[in-house]
Amino acid sequence: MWHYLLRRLLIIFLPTLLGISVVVFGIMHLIPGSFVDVLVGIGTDITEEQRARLVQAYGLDRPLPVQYLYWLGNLARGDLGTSLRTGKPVLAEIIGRLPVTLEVSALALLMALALAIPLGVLSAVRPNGALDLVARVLALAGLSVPNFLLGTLLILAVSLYLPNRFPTTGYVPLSEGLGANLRSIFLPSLTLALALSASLMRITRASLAETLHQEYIRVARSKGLHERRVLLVHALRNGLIPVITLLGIHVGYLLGGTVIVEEIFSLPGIGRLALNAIYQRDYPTVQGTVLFIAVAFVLVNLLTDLAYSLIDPRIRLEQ
Amino acid sequence: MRHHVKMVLVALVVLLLVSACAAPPPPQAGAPASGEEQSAATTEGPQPGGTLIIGKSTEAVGLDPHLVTARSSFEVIAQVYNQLVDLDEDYLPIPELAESWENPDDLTFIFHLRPDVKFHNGRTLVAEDVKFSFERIQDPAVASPWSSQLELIERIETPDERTVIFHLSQPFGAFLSTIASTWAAIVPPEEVEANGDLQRVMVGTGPFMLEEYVEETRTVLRANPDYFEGAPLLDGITYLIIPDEAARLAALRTGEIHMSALSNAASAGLAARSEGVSVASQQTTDYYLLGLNTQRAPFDDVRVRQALSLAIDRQAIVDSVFFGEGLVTGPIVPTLGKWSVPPEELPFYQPDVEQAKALLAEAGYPDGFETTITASPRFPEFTSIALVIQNQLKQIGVTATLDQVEWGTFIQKWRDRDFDTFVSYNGSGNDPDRALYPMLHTGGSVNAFQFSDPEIDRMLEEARTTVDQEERIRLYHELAQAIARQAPLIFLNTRTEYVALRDNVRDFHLSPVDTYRSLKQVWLAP
Repeated sequence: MWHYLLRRLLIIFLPTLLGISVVVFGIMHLIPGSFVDVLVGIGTDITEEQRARLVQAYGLDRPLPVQYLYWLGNLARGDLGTSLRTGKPVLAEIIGRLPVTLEVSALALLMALALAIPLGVLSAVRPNGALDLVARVLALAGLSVPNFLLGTLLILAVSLYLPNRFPTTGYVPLSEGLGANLRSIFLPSLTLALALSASLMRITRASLAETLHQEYIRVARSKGLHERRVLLVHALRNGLIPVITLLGIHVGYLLGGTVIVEEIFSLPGIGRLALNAIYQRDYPTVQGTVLFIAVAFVLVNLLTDLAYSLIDPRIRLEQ
Repeated sequence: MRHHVKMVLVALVVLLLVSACAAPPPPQAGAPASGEEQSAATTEGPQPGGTLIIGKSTEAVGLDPHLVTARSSFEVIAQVYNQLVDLDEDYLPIPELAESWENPDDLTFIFHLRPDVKFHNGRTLVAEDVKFSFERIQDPAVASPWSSQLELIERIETPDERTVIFHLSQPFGAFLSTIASTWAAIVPPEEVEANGDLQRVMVGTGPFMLEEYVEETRTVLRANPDYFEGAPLLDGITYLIIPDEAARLAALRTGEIHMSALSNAASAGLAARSEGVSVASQQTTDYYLLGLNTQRAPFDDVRVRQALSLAIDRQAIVDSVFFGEGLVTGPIVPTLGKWSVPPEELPFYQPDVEQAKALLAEAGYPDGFETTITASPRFPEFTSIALVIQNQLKQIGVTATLDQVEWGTFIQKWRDRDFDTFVSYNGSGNDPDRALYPMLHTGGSVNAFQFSDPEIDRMLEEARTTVDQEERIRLYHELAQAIARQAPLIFLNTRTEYVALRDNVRDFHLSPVDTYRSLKQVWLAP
């Protein structure tokens, strides 16, 4: 397994990150509009020399390959660079906002699993039953409604019918009390959880329904095992493998989804950091946040692979 | 495909018109923030105490008055810093940190400072601070975006602790209104030295001082008990960053915030219908415009530009895009009062399709031409304006295609002068020189139209170097006529600013130049 891990890291992880770094750097500098121009805007009375001085002051006058290599060199030493807009280290900016994004993603994941697994199992056990039909319709709705719409609808509904129950904006850090903290991230997490639970529910149902038709399940039943044991121990364990694969991918998407949700619910997380940095062409911050999310995505996928072997010993990683 | 795009655009215009008809009654322009039913409660008079909570759409991009350009920064800076002079409602200078001044000749201004002003760090303001602040803005090493505004200051003297003398290199009519700008704040040198710059700390002389700055979350200001006009009524001001407008409206409704700027008339209508919320509105000195590339055919021909000025019905734009809120403007906005000329007295301002067609034919385009209008969805009203103009230009045979681009891209195109026409808005600041000179003088820094006319250049220079105010007004009235005749851009209408307030916010007044210029007189009713 260690051999496998090492190989994955060297052959897949590093080249992937290098590729991402080139693409992110390239795209940010290819799109029109530069940091200095967005800073100055279109109404400010500023001479060309003054503008040139600003460009130089921010180190943007050097050739792009030089800027890239310089950035990469710092990256190798664990330095993500300095934000052009705030003058703070990008890594510090990311770490400062990480708890918000992690909290929202984690709560969303928990809520999604708590909804999806029981619903999926129940639907699979009684296909085409009343519960199955309702769950499938809800899942379709959950998949179809984009989270920016869902978020806005939730804000409207809560501010109209449940005023003062959940704050619709802003983030209360954990240090100001667990209750207030959870209340402040409940709605954004729910927004993310609904769409996620819809797809998790569907895959749980499909995968479990298929597993229930396998020979070994029939054997287990004919041995006279209790139906609950057949379902929860024998069937669910195998049925969960596709769910875990999907979960791995979705954790990555969750990080992406927080970009929109953080904007709507005004949470100071990584997503909003990246979005504002793009608008302002704050190159180091965009590069840093995207690279950070990419690393997280790749790592989660690696963990997903490892999780297979824990659930199903037949899947051996050395192969 | 093209056909589909057209259909969608037509549908959009129809929707726009329908929604214009169904629009809620717009809030009263310039109306006091509080409704009539409150006047009974206000008889007790202003009461001290309480924290005003303001919802802001964007975080301040740094806090250093000399380095930032964003409105979101100046909103906060205006509460913490002071300038030498302020402007009253007629844009005339009034004392602030300077209690009086003399103007012995056109090139010299002598200011006498108030004796009782203290910085938030406890030190008394002296003349050296004023000299330091202006020289800091001028210093090339500081790279202040405002340095060109102070080009005409040759040197500053401080004969004693309470006297500052400015020597100008040539007469400058807009000098006092320039140094009344929020960016011309007086800052303490020791804090600049200690912190490198003032982007993350605030030490001013103003009615409020910075207590906490948590980026992207909140900025907390506390009342300054030693303010030279006496402590403000509020205990403090808290700014919460809430980017989403729907979320800000919801927070107003639930009372999480007291006050928030709103971006458009539709939101203002929604807010006005909420219980416990009222909306104040104000015409600003900003205005919308259709910029023309005067170096590119066919807009290099003055007759084509005049034809456009005649074909575009400005009032129709005000009615359909802004629900009737906005004033048709000439080269100098009506909100600048006595400086401006009423639009009906300007040439090529009354919509006249026949005359426009005749001018086009004379210029060699009897069947019109094809062009593009560049706009950015960052400001949805740009797109709406572009759609209405597109429709109006059809009447004179001009086919305009809409080119929508992201804001950064828009700025790039604007810089590269890579457009036929574009929709945007400009600020006029507090003086016609500020509004016109950089925009229309040959090679001016914001002359995106690449407009160049020796006669207009001469008039702009003359108006700039005239100090006598009556004479300046006469010169600007002539300029407005000349610019309208040249039509290097189509001036459309003023921008309306909306602020929604909870009903217990009292004595809040909007100013055409700076939304939150002063919150020192604001108080909260229990």
